[in-house]
Amino acid sequence: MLILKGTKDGLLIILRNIESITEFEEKLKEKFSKSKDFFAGADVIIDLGEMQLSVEEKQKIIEIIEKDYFMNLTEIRNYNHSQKFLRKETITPAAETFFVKKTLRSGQKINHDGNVVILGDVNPGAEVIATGDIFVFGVLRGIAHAGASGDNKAIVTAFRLQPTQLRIADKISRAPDGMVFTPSFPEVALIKGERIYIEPYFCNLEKSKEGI
Amino acid sequence: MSKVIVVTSGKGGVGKTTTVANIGTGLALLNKKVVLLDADIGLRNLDVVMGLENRIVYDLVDVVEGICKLRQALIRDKRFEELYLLPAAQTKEKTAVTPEQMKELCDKLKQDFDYILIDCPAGIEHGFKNAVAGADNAIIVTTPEVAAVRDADRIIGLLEASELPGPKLVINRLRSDMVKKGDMMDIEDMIEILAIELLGVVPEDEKIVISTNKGEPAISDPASKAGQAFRNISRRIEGEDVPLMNLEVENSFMERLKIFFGLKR
Repeated sequence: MLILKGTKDGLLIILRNIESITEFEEKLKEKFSKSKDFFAGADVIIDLGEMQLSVEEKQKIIEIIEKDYFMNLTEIRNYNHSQKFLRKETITPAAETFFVKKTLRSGQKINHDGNVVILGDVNPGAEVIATGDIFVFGVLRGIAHAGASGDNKAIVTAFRLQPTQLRIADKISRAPDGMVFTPSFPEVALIKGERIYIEPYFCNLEKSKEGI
Repeated sequence: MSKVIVVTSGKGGVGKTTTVANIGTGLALLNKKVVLLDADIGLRNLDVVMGLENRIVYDLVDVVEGICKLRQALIRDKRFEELYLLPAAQTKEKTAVTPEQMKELCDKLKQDFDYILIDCPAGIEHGFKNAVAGADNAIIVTTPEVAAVRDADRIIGLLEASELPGPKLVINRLRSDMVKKGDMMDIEDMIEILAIELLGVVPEDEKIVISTNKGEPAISDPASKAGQAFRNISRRIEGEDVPLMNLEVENSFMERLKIFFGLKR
């Protein structure tokens, strides 16, 4: 069930007894089918009740609210303990950066239109997909896909770059089979010519990007 | 303060049930009131491992459905007065119980016991959600295998999402001889990936197979190394600071002789 309330901070959408994102999407469609344009541009607060969402599910909700209904999601909260989820007011997809302040574990997936910064590790079985660059302040052991919509200037950097698979734009590379030399310094992956290259990361990143 | 601890792993066959049986017995040895709750409906094992299969009349589903009283379904252990088992149903399916009902059941058990240990089924579906619902602590069991560690990582992620903070890790079936040769993941490798607190390391031990088949937890066997490890884990759960035991395999006489003559290091 969806309950709508107008508050001074914006439109409050309360979710009760909703099991999944798909169900939420359907209910939202029912409610907003006629008044879609009326609410465009409105600030929205979502109250999840006792429902717990993962990072990727939260992202999905943000996407639905912003892309399908053109509203600004300002906060996601649980009704027993308020869990603030602050968002930038201005929405310029290409430049927007999404911060993940935890380790991504197996089965968790980030899909973001923009850059992604991860303050933690990306474990095997986890996936990060971004249309911009990917920065991992930790060990990248999972899958990373930078420039997912075709930007071959996108890069992937990590304190330790040990991905299962690395994708930039439409190029795919994977770790060599067998025992691999694993350097203990930060590295950067970028496209040069037709292939993905991995280099030690130095501060003059702009220079190495220009050298494409 | 009673604690509800779920023992889970994601992958099957890593030793969840053995861990529940041994830690449960270990806590009973420390004079705690303990109940072991088998949440693996349809594939119950805990009763067999505890050697209590022939005493089952009512089970978890009967309690939840109100067919019997909670007290009637609890089976007292053969060896310990204060150790009980609440068996799972074998003829039903996981969906016979809801997470809300499990939570309610755990809250009821909390009134009478110091520890409620939940044996979680393998997987991440309904059975897992049931097992986790009423718990306020979690123990993740893994073996030194890439697949098991991967699944443990997935489970830790799911526990984070369901707000069950601070799971602790038990590494099971470690073979220090293989680790030494570089054929097996070592403890540090696993801690680095999973990044959670280590509760204990249990060495591979033949005695576990024997004791499991006999229905007598290895923890009560003073000669068993795995039993010793489980005793330590139980004491750590009780808040004692017990150092990790030495897992080195003792060299045979011939090997010691070779080392003495410098033929082997």
